[in-house]
Amino acid sequence: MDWSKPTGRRDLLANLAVALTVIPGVAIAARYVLAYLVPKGRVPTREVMLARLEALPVGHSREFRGVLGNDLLVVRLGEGEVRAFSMICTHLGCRVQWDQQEGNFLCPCHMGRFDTTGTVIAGPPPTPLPSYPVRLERDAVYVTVPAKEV
Amino acid sequence: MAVAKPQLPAWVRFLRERVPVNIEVFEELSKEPIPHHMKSWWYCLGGTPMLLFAIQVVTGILLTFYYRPSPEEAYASVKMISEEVPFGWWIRSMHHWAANLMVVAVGLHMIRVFFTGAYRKPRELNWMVGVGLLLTTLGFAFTGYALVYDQLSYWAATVGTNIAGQTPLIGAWVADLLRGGADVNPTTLTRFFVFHVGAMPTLFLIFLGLHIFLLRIHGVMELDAPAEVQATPLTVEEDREGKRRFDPNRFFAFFPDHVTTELAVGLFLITVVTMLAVVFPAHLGPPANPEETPLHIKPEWYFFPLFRWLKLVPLWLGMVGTLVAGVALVFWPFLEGAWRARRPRSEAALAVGAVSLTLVLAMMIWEALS
Amino acid sequence: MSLEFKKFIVALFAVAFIAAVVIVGLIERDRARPEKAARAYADEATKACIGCHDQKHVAVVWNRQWEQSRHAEKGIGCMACHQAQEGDPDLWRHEGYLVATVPSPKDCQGCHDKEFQEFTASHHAKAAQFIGSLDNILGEVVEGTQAANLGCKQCHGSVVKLDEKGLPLPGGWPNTGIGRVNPDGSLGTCTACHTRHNFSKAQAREPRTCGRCHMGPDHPQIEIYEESKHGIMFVAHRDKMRLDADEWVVGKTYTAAPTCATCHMAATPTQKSTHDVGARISWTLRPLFSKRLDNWEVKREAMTKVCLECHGANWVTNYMQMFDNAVELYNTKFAAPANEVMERLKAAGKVTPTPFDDAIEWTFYELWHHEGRRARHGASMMGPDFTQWHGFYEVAKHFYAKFLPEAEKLLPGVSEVALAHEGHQWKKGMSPDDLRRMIAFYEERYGQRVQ
Repeated sequence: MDWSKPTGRRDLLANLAVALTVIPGVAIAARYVLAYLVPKGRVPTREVMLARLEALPVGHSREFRGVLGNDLLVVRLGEGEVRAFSMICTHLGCRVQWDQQEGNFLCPCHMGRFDTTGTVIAGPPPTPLPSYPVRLERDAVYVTVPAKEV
Repeated sequence: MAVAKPQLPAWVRFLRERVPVNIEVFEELSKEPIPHHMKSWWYCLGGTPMLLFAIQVVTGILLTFYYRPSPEEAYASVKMISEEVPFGWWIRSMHHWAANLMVVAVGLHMIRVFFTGAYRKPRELNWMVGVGLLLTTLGFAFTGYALVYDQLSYWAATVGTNIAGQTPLIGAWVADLLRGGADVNPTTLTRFFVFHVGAMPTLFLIFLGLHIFLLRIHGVMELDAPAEVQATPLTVEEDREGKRRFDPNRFFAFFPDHVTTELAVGLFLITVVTMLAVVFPAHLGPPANPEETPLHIKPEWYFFPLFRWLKLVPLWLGMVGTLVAGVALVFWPFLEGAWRARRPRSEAALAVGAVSLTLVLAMMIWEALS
Repeated sequence: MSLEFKKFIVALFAVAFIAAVVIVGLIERDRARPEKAARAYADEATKACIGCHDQKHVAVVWNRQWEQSRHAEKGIGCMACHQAQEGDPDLWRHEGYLVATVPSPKDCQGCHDKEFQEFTASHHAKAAQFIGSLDNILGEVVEGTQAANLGCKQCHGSVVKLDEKGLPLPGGWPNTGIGRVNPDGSLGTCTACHTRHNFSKAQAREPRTCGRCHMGPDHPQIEIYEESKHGIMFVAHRDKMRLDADEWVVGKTYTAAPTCATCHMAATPTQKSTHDVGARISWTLRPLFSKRLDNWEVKREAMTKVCLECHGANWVTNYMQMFDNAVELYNTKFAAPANEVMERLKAAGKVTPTPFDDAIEWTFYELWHHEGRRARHGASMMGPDFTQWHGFYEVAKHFYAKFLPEAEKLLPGVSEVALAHEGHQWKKGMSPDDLRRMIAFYEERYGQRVQ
């Protein structure tokens, strides 16, 4: 092939200028297109009320489904101690249950167990059970969850 | 492989063993001789619609990711694209503006081809393919605008299909084809969508392929050359090394010269389209309400001449007139050829063109102002 | 056109292209997305309540109001307030739920304890505790319970009684009187000002909210406010008041005008907000004789500090003194003499012990309860017309031209004791000199510090 060779410095400069502007320009435009195609980066979080404290007996757990699109397991460990965990086992996605006798979370699919800090204490789950920040304001229990559903 | 060739890079050899094409073919493509008149920007008007079409395909596909073609969801999906999706407003506005510019570019190209007589023998068939491209472009515009499903979309589409339905003989069938039934119904929008993203692009590409093919095998018509030269394909000689050459007094190289021109045009177009998108973003009117016709429905500007014409005369005359004009447009090269067979030096074509163009523009402006 | 030149053009357009692309990015960054207000989060129970109520079309406005409320944003749903336990006095079994029919301040206390404590300690909570008072007798006896239920008690509060199912009985309900006696023993209701189910702060901060009750011939606070400069400024600059701001501090959040809440309750840069509406009130203008309340210096100081947010010290001090002087005038010139006359009439048996059965009792009642209060309230809140024409003018007119003649008719000579005060000397007939001396005396006396 007989490509037209640059015929001097000005020509080379022109080629360079084009390359240096068109390529980044195209790259930026490509980034916009990607942002367009895959719009949501992070899901914002929101704080909502879960329940009144009196609805959570000490030493027991309660399920809360559909909290802004999240399914939670909430356990009240003490007078003022409430923890909220994701119900979804980190192994293969089964739903975790509260084991009242043992005082921890059991996943029935492959007998994975998490303690009340979410740490894996038995079975195949690779990572701890995710927890969500809980805030007590007098009688009300608030939890901060990703707003998966508006 | 010819002798005395420098050693090619390994990757080129890798490919050539697996994709056995004759390298000379590429040379021939890249060395296409372009007559010197093409150095003027005025002659880029053919490539312009193609570049704009490329923009439309890319932005169109991107829009299809979010557009929902059902009457219940269409408007909301367009709204979502315009307001919520990042850069959605840009993609949509570019699509809107490139559409408008494409109609303009196709019109200008047609005018250029007409007034330079480049449709004459042996290039008559290419003109007809070109008219096909024009009609497909207008079809794109018509179906595309209906997809937004705001009031203007809905009613313009309704009126448009009804007008099409008035075509003699085949009108009712055409209207049914467009609507998917005797009346506008829930499938009508989806049908328009399929026309816009499926049937018409395919048709367009077929026409485009034919158009470029015919253009290439005839070669670009040399404007300044005598008629016989114009009528014969380009001569390209071979030099001693067997390389194909052409008379540099008459021609210049497709690559890199013309490609550079087209690159400049392409960059210019995309910049213009982007800036138009920024300064005049695409508008979204009130959502379609089949129960309520807005007081003033107007079609898009490129249909103004037809719209005005149909308002001037009774409907039957309007349709017949349009049909006659359409047929004349399609077969113009043959009509003009027959005329010039009798009067060889007649420039009546110019007169016809000037008058027609003036009329079309006048009606467009009249409708725009009223 | 040479290839070189064309390449230059291309370079130019390339620069334009990248500039255009960058501009697009900047626009996207600055684009205002349609403000997505945090939508209501309804938990399972709330979804059930709303779903059924919507479907059966029962009080659907509750649902819509709740959905727009701040409570809904935080996921505080129906059962947060309406959950009843077994044994609750207002328990009602409804569609399988245990519903509390009368949420009281105790229910709000769960999250709003500070406000609960302040409110319960305040005079507002005691509004229904006027059993045995003249007003109570007037409403219940002289008029009739049916009148009082829709009249007095709607502002002051009823006693809510329930049937065996837990549903409130008529008479005491509907009622959002601010001193309402609830089945669970708590006093008052937050919904008197924070109307359900929006429970909107902005609405509670509106002067009209107070004006529902603080109006009328016997305590026209809202009318006085609207007459005053404060009220005029409020109306003129309403859009700058930012009533819906979370933190609403005069001088910081808004400066356009004070509202009722501004002076009597709301936060200032130096004082916290309080639901104890008496915290900044040093006089009681309610009774026959106005008295200083307990800890009046602290309360006067608290109110003064609010005034000082907008006004200079001289302005405030002078006004407070003039206000005190006006109250003193009322007390000494009209209230005391009139009361003395009534005491004598009662002692002489000219007026029976039964209230409101003698015409003069009505005259006397209105003298202190209506125009007497209007005069004092007008003076307290910068309402000149109420101070004068609806106030002291009518006090004077009724005192001289109605009350005293009526008393004279019953017990000739009794009005002498009423006219002992210097302020009544003019009645004896005065020369211009005497009048001048009288006025000078008044200026000296009531233009000075009272204490």
